Amino acid sequence: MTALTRALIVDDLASSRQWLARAARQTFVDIEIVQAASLTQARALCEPAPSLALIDLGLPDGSGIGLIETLHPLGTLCIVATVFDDDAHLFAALRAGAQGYVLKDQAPDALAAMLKGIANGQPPLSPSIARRLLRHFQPEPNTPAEPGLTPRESDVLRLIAKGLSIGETAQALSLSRHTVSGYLKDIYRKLCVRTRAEATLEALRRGLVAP
Amino acid sequence: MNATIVLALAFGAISILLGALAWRVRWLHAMLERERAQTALRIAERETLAREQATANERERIYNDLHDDLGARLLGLVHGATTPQQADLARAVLHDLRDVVTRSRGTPGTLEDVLADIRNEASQRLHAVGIGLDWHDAEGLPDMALDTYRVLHLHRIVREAVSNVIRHAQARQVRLRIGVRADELQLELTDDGSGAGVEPADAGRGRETMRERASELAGQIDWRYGTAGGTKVLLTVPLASKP
Repeated sequence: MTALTRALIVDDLASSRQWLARAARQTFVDIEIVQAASLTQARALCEPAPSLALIDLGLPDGSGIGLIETLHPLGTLCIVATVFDDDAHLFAALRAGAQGYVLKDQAPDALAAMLKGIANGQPPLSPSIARRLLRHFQPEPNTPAEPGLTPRESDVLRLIAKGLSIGETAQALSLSRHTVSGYLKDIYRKLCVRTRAEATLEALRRGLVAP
Repeated sequence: MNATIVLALAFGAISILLGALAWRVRWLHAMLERERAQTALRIAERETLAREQATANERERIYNDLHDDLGARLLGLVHGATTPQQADLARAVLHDLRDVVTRSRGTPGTLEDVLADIRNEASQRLHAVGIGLDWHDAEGLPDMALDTYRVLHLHRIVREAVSNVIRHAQARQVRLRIGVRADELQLELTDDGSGAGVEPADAGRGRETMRERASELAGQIDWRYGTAGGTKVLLTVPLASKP
């Protein structure tokens, strides 16, 4: 895990910000924490880019997804702070480059464990997101075939989609938890790369960029 | 003589041509009819789709309004709770709020998808209060589509059963068994707690709501003592017919 020195917490609810800050401090002991209640406030705090950002998506002046699109290429570890872990709420943020999500209604200890997991390359994945990923990576004409999923990655997604936890998935496939987490991390990465490839293709199609 | 033959041949040719023309016209009419019917169907489909989309958008808007206000307060309750059990009360209401308003649960909503989501939510909630979840589903559950009402009822019955375990049972472990027998879905939730909530006298309003939901699903729900103590909730729902 690279040292995370500065965390940006973006949430319009003061109690949520405090809750998230507490978990971040518990996980990364010496981290400096800055807080924002809106996108505008957050953007003012992005110079230099924070090493970690906990972002609520439903902000009063817009969606946090745009902020993820800005910060992810700058090397910020972007994590969505959400109450619900379904695809409707999270998929767009993961495509934009979020490397995981934490559930805001969890107790500080559980929240800290989730944060630590993501920072160590062990992102969470809910069944509905796994299903969405399986559909998303189905080979289709006119979409970039690369990067696709390996058979093992598909196996992992199928079991998570059935509601198995990461530990249970590891057991069912006779793999270590660590290996399964590694697959999930790769899937997250591929989703983001593929999304960018699709965006480029779409821009080409519309003649927005020269081939 | 020759003229008569030519005339007869000409008549013959003309009548064949006329016949072919008449057939062609009929065929074109039929084609046109079919085209029209298909276009009408397409327009109807598009309108239905647009209506559904508008309804979904409206629900999402209402949900966002509610979420900003009620959701924020509920989350505040979770954060201010002094015990994990208290936090779970508010957490369950947050999930109810989302499900009732958006009905976006489980799309495309096959039985397997719905069970996976139920498992995910139950395991998160139980884990947060230190109770383990032991989940068994039978091999070969039918991969059938469920409409949103059935999805919602199933979700809320299990959510309420889990709430009861967390609130009253003093349990350490919950076992959820799911099977299919004779076109019926059988769901059995057993805890290893005190057995509180089996006797009708102990049951609160939650049980009435669960019964109502079960009957909306044309199914049955029952409470018994578990074989090794604790409470067992048994839900049986027919899979074939619509409620």
